[in-house]
Order: sequence, then C-alpha cells, then structure tokens
Amino acid sequence: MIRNLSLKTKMFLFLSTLLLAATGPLIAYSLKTSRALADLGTDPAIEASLSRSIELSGGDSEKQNAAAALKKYRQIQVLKRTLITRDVLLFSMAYSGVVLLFAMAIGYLFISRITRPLQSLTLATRKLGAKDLDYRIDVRAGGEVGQLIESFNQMAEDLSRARRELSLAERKAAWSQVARTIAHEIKNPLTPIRLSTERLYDKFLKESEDFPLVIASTTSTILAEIGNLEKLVDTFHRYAKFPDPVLRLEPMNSILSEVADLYRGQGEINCRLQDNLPDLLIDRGQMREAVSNLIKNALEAAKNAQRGPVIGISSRLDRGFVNIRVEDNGGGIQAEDQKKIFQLYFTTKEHGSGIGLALTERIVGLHNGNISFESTPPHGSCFVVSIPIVHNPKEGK
Amino acid sequence: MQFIVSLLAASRIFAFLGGSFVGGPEVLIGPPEIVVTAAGVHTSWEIQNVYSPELRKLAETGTFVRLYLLVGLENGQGGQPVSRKTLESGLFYDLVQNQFFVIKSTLADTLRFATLDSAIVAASRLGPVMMLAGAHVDPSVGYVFTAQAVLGKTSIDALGGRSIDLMHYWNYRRPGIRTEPIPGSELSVVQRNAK
Repeated sequence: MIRNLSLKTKMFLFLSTLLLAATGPLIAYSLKTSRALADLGTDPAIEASLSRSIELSGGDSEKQNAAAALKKYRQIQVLKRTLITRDVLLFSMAYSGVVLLFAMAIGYLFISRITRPLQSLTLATRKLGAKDLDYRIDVRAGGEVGQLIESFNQMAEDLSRARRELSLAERKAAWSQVARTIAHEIKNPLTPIRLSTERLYDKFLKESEDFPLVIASTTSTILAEIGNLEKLVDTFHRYAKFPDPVLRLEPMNSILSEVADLYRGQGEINCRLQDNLPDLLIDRGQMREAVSNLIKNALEAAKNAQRGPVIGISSRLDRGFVNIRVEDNGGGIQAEDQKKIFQLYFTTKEHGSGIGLALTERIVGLHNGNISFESTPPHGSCFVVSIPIVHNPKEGK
Repeated sequence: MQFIVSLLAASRIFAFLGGSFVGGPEVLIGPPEIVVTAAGVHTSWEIQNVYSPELRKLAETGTFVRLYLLVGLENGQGGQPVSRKTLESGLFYDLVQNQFFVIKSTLADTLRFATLDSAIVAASRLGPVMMLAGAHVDPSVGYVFTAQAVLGKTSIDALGGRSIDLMHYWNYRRPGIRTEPIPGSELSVVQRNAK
C-alpha cells in the first residue's frame, strides 16, 4: 500500500515521522532534567522548622501566617513535579506541532518543485507515445530535473525532425515506386499497340490483299489494350484520390462479423472475437473495405486447399492496440513475392487488379495503424492489422 | 529505515501519554441509596477512590479540594429530564488546628476529623437530596437516576493564587452512573402502601 502512494505523500509521511522521532529524545531529556530539578531543594528541616513556628507563634494572626508559609512550602513540594511535567509536555507538544506544520509546509513547497516537473515529464512522455511530436515541456526547473527536461525537449525535437524527414523520404520512395510501376504497366499495353499499328501501316503501304482482315484484328487488339490502359488509369485514380477517413467511435467486432457473413458462402469462416473490446476511432466504410480485401485475398489464396478454404478471423486487445488477424489455409506467399505484396498493381491472381492490399495498407496507415503478415510456404498466411485505441477521442463530422 | 523511524515516533507518542498520566484506581460512583417518603424521593450517593495518592498529598498541604456531584432524574420512556441537582463537598486541612474539615452543601455544619482517611469518607458521601416531590411521582412511568462527578478548581497560594484544575488527578475523565428504569409505583408512597 505504501508503495502505491505518490512521491509527495511518501515524503510527507517520512518527514513527519522523522521530525516526531527526532524531537522525542530531546523532550525526554528535558523532562528528565526538569523532574530532577523539581526534586532538588526539598529539605525536611525547613518543613520541621515551619511546623514548629506555628506551635511557637503567639497570636492567631502569627499562627495563620506561619501556617500559610508551611502550606505554600508543602504545595511547592507536591505540585512542583506535577506542574513542571505538565508544562514541559504541553510545551513540547505545542512546539512539535508547530515544527511539524512548518516542516510540512516547507516540505510541500520543496517536493512540489520536484514533483511538478516530473508530472510534466510523465505527461510529455505519454503525448510522445501518442505520436504528438510537437509537444514540448514548458516547465522550468533546475539541477538534474532541469537537465532531464532539456534532454527530453531536445529528443522530441530530433524525433520530430527525423519523422518529418522519414515521412518525406517515404513519400518520395513511394511515389518513385508508383511511377516505376505505372511506367511498367503502361509499357505493357503500348507494345502491342505499337506492333499492331506498325503491322497495319506495313500492310497499308504494301496494299496487301488481307488488309481488311489485318485492320479487323489489329484494331481489336488496339482497342483491347486501350481498355487496359483505361482500367489502369481508373485504378490509379482510385488509389491516388482515396479520401481521408471520417473518424467515429465504432465497434470493430461488429464490422468483422458483418464482413465475415458476406463471404461465408465461399468458404468456412471461423470468428474468435474478444468480448468487450473498446470502440475504435475509425471510418467504418474504409475499415470494411480493408477487412473485405483481406478476406477476399485469403479465400482466393486457399481456393485450392484440400478441404476447401478455411479462414480464421480473430480480434484481441493488446497493450493499447486492437489486433485483427486473418488466417488462411492456402499455400502461403512465396519469398520473392513477399516484398512486393503491398505494392500497387502487384498481383498473383489471374485477374487481379493489384490494388487490394495496397489500398488496405493505405487505409490502415490513415488510421495510424500497422499491417504485417506471417507466411511460410506451403503453409498458409496470416495478416495482422493493429489499430491503436485513442484516449479522449474527438470524432470527425 | 522507515520501520525504525516509525517505531521511534510511536514510542514518542506513548511517552507523551505516559508522562502526563496520573496513576491510581478508577473513580466510581456507587448506585444511589433511594429513600421514599411522603414528601418525595430522596437520594444519597457515595463515590469511591476520589482521592488518588497524589491528590491525598495535595489535600495534606492544606489545599482546598472541591468535589461536585451532578445528579439527575429522567423520565425513563423518553429520556426527558425531570429534575437536576448539584451536590458539593469540600475538604481542607487546617495547619494550625492539625485537623481535617469537610463541608457539604447538604449540611449546615462543618465536619471535623483527625485523620485524612475519615475526612475522605465523609467528603465522598453526598446527599440526601430530594429529586422529586411525592405529588409529582407518576406511577405509570419508569424513572432513571443519573450522576456525574467532577473535581473543581482550586487556588494555589504557592503560585500566587493561580488556579489549577483538580480534574488533572482524575486524568480529566468524569465518572458517571445511570441506573436502570425504576417503576414510578415503587417511588410512590401511596402506591407502595396500596400494595
């Protein structure tokens, strides 16, 4: 229980206890000394003399005076010890109380100077963990704590700069990759268009007898390849113009269940969803598309499995993230393909567009999440999407 | 380390309490002696262990020791007060006459004793006092007798007349007593005669 107390409370208790204990020996000593002093000065001879003076006094008035003197002497004897003890104890209690209050006040001020910067540091660390890289600590402190705060701010600045540079580099790399892919994809249809046009031109120049036939076949080829180019442009347009997510708190399990139900007819789909998952700040439509892409890919990958496609979908809360796993019993992803599966236009399917996983990765990234996979051919693959839980979320319109 | 410091602090608190504690047996108020007459209901009280050894020493110096007994009568059903009286006794030692004197609020005369013990016995007995007139006794009601004892303040010549509170010798605890409800029929002469 003591371990869970705050630093301020612990210091309070410790200082108070220390002060009480420190004044103890001093008060005990002063009490002992006072009592010893109180016991001094008692002389039976004086009392005897005062008693005799009453007997020897002549008139009533003299007797009363002598009696009063004896009474005072005896009172001093009896009360000295009691009164001194009481006064010493009362004074020491009052003094201890004042010292304690004073020490607590000083202690509070002193400890606050340490705990306040530490609280700011704790808050800043949490903000950094939540990817708020622009947060800086504005508290001034001296000594080691001050140095710690300076170091933290410097680290956050370096991290922010590195993140910006990395983001820029990643964007450049991504667009370079996209440009290369597009160039490659465009080249594919251009080659048959060129060849067909050259063949057509050649036949035209030679006034060949089969020119009408050649026109029919080459224009058919050219139109087909133009169709492919249009499809390519549409796909790219869809990827490039993908809208920003409209974030709302949504229950992930309901999305998983809905999408799984859509595909149950195409294979065995088993859901193991953790109860009481916290709602996530997501775009429901985009997340449905991402999950849908993963399930479609899993069904496609496992379509040739011996017992048919068996897809496992699970959700679990793990250290601030909701992890969604989609497993299949297909043949796995070949090693040479594993580096390219998230690239736009890359596909292993016969009639695939090559946009599914690229879009899924884009959607997960827009939600500050992460996507990864495990695959060891000939065993199946498992894709894992991790979406962070957001504290104090602000929903979009 | 924290354990040792806590132990020292606890011993300090006990030293405080121990240093100011006055020893001696507990002061007790005995059950009242109730006398029912045609005039009314009278009670007498005895308090035990009034004088601790330290208070005896003080009394022997000639210091005046006052004792108060606050007695009350309540309607047992509702706890409403019916009557309240204060009894007083005082004890002092005359250094000239070498005798102990006791005065009581219920006595016109001053009692005289050769020894402190006999003076204490007399000073510790208070009453009789009438708690309720006979005409006001309600036979259908139960009555509860209460009492609380207090030592008064006294002036100390050796301290230039400064007063000290003698409750210090009782560790500032007031002894008290509360009887069980006594039927009013037992406190009424008419009812008792009728039985």
